[in-house]
Amino acid sequence: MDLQREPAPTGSRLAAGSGPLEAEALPVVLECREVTIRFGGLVALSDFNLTLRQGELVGLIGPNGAGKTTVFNLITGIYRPTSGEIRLFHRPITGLRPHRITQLGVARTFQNIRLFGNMTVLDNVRTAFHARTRTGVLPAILRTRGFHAEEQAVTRRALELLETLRLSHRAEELARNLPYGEQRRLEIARALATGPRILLLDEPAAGMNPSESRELRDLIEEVHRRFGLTTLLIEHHMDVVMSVCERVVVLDYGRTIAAGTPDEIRRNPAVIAAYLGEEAG
Amino acid sequence: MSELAPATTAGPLRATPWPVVLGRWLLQLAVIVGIYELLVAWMGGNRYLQVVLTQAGIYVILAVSLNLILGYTGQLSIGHAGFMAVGGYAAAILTKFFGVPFALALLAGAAAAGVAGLLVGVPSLRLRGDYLAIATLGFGEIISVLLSLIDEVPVGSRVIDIGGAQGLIGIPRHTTFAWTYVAAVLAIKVVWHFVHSTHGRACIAIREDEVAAEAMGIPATRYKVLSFTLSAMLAGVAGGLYAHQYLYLNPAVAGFMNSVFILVIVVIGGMGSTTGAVAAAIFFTYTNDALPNWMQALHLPASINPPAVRMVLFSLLLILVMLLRPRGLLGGVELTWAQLARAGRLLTGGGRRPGVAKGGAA
Repeated sequence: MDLQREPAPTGSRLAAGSGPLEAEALPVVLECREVTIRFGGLVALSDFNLTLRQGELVGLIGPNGAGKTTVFNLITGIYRPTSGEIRLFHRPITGLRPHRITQLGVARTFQNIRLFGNMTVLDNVRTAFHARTRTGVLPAILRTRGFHAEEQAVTRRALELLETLRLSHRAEELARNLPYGEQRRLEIARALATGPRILLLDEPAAGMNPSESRELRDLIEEVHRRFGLTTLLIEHHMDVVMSVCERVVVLDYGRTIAAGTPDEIRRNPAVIAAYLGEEAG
Repeated sequence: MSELAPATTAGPLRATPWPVVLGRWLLQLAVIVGIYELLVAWMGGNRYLQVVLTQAGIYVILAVSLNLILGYTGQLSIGHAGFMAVGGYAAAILTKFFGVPFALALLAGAAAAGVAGLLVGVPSLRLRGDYLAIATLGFGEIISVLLSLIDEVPVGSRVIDIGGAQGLIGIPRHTTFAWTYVAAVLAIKVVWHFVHSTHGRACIAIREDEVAAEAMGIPATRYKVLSFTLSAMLAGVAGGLYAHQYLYLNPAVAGFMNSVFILVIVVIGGMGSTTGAVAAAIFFTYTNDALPNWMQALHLPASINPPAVRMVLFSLLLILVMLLRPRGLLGGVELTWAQLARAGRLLTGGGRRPGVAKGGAA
């Protein structure tokens, strides 16, 4: 059963296709090439380039309205770029429906939490297993053995995910009744249930106090390693971004103004002017 | 109820031994047969009760099926009676003119209604928003007008008379309470099993947040069309039963008033609650039929006629429910034995909840 598949540890299948350039160059999993999107006269994102390699944890930062969430909406197929190309595992995905892109291995969380509020915490996660289930409508209505076996497998895997995200004690509660921090963790659990190779986290620490956000930072690192993910992280908490990310990309007014290691970004005058300076002042 | 969580979540993980499965199955069958026997005993030879209960069964099917698209998938459909009429006319034509066996005719009616559902659903459900409401509203009216304009239909070498505005008459009597009861039980089972599966969760997720559902890998359009078509097919079965109960079909069956009646049942019973839909369907069909008798007892002037009073009463009830319980009486909640038992304990004021002890032990 597909459900039993663990998220790819280190993409052996992917590596075969992409021919390593250097010894340490891991295969490219996601690539944005010159991606531009306009809404009417407004250029929300212009000539955006990004290359994510297998297993990287990359930060995407920038002031409010810089176009960070727009990048996520483009990668996940909610928006279609005006020009440019997005490639997932070397395959162009521009124009694919969001659910197809998710099935290809990209999962996301939402900045403005979008849980299934009137479903239980457990059902939120079980729902996200949907694309990995195989039971058809007729077997489900007839309640075949296969249906029961798969339901049990889904429930077990969902409970494991809740355990990982420390939400087990909430399994039977309605998602909308959860405190804010736990809703954010549930968003991550739900995204992981789709079986992603690439995880897009949209401000997972928003609204959290320093101790909560430290806890979340550890959780992100743990999930990233444990599930062998490639992670793209949008975050306003600089301490979180600077401590977990290997690379950081900075956006301002839809343009990429800097990219580099956290140390380089900290020292970059353009970044300080656009973002850090603004916050410090 | 966090103390309940360990018990309930550990439950489905244990493989259920087959004697328990068989036992549950037999128990369920016993309950279904038992209720049937009770109802039959109650009806006795009372023709009026038979008609009312059969009609209640038909509206149970209609309410439970509309609830699938409206309550679970969250898409407003206000032309459910249109699918009922399509299924009814299709089944009636087959039995009356072609001598097709009743069961087969019912299935054919379901198929015809399903095709109509696809035709309405595919274009309107691709879009987000309330396009379905507009399309289904139009659909019901179009079916109603078409049926009243078409008198004769050529089928191969013969021409059959479906009656136009006068309605299709002389439909053979096939529907009995037993047929309706079995069909209603099956409809409830189909909807219940569908909803409590990964497919049902996909539909509920679409209702909750379509963008998030798609981001979780759920093909939203496909599921909206699927649940809409399934809903239409079940309405088609209800239409077939209706036709062979009253032996006469009027184009007005497809009209707005009938659709609204079904809608009111679902909204008041509670969207997303199958038990709520069943209870409301029985209550409303009964009230609907009993209303003229009650009014006669009140000696009202002749100008106050039952249909008018009906609409006023239902509207008032709808407003009341919307004010007091906006999600319907049982919105999103199912009436289960466990809940009834809990209510019973609350009423008798006794005993600790067994769930607490179980949770503590686990």
